Amino acid sequence: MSGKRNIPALGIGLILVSLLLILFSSTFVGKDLRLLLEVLTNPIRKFEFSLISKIFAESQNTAYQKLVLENNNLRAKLVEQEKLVLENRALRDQFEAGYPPPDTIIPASIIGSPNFIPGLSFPTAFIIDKGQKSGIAEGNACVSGPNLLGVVSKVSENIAKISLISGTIKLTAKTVPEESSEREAQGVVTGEGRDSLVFENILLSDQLKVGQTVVTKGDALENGNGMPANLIIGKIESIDKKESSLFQRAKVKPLINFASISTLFCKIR
Amino acid sequence: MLLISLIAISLAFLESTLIEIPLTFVFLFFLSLKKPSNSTFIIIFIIGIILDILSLRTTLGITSIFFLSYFLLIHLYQSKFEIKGHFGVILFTFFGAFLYAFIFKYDNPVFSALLCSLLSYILYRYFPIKKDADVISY
Repeated sequence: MSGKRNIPALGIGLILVSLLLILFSSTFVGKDLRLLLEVLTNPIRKFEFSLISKIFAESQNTAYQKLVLENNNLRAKLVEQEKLVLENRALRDQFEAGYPPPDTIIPASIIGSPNFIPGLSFPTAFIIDKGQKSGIAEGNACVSGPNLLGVVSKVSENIAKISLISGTIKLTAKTVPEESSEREAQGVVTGEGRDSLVFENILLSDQLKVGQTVVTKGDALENGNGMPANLIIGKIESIDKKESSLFQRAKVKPLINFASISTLFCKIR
Repeated sequence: MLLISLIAISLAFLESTLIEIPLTFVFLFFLSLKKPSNSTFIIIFIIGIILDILSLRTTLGITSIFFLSYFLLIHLYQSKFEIKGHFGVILFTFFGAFLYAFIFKYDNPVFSALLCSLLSYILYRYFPIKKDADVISY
């Protein structure tokens, strides 16, 4: 009976010991004690776990396990093959387009897209796996086929950052006349951070049509870097022309889906 | 007592290695009701320490405090709340297991608590607890 009467006292005593243990566990004494206890209990854990794992392993069909392993390997190969197919298609499309000339561009894989969450936000920049070592310089254009994707904004030895036209970069651009009698309209294209661009600072006297193609005007430098001319930016979606304004503007929709691109081409010279 | 200690240690190993369910809590809770004695509480304290090490908890002693506090409270108020009846055992096992699983971030605390209640019912069926008339309460 006296054993039972002592229980509350013993319980409180043990709680106090536990509290002391908590206080000491963060000190080197507590850490040493923990280390010692871990060393003592680890072999038992190892033995128990290996025993249970053996029991489970023997109860499973080994032929089934082989099939699962083979299936996983094949899936990995399928993913690799898909990647090669996409790369091949991109290369073929680029060389079929013929512009920019194939000897002035190199392929690069996209390895990152900062702040891009599919379904929630729009890509405004890409990180690629090529850099200065491969001949990429700041200000160089990046394309997919004859379509302009963006401009190299930062470059290091092996990596570069491409600011996309959907971001906030500004480019001088012009329209492609559909008839010989028409005059090309010139202006500035600015991204809005979404999937449409603004083509502005266009003279009121210039004729714009919905569906007209907008291309780069070209800002090439003496060393060959910079923006080449006639790279496709997009098509005019809508026109905003007010007689009271100095200039007219239009909304331009890019022809490519930035979110679905995995390989692009960068101009090197 | 040696056998009980071995069973408790095995359950602690099982809980920390394979099955993340408060099995040790169920066993020790049942033990504290079935055989309330000084040695039981010392075993509870030691098993709590072992469980802290095996579960890689950063603070040693935290599981012991939980076990001791909960079982001591139950011990002190068991006659008031008729805890030794089968309904009391199941209810307080559920509550304690849920609290334990919640505090120590086990997956699915509700499911774990339900499973523990079932286990305590099975234990009670095969090892019924006698309602002690002269249990000291405060």
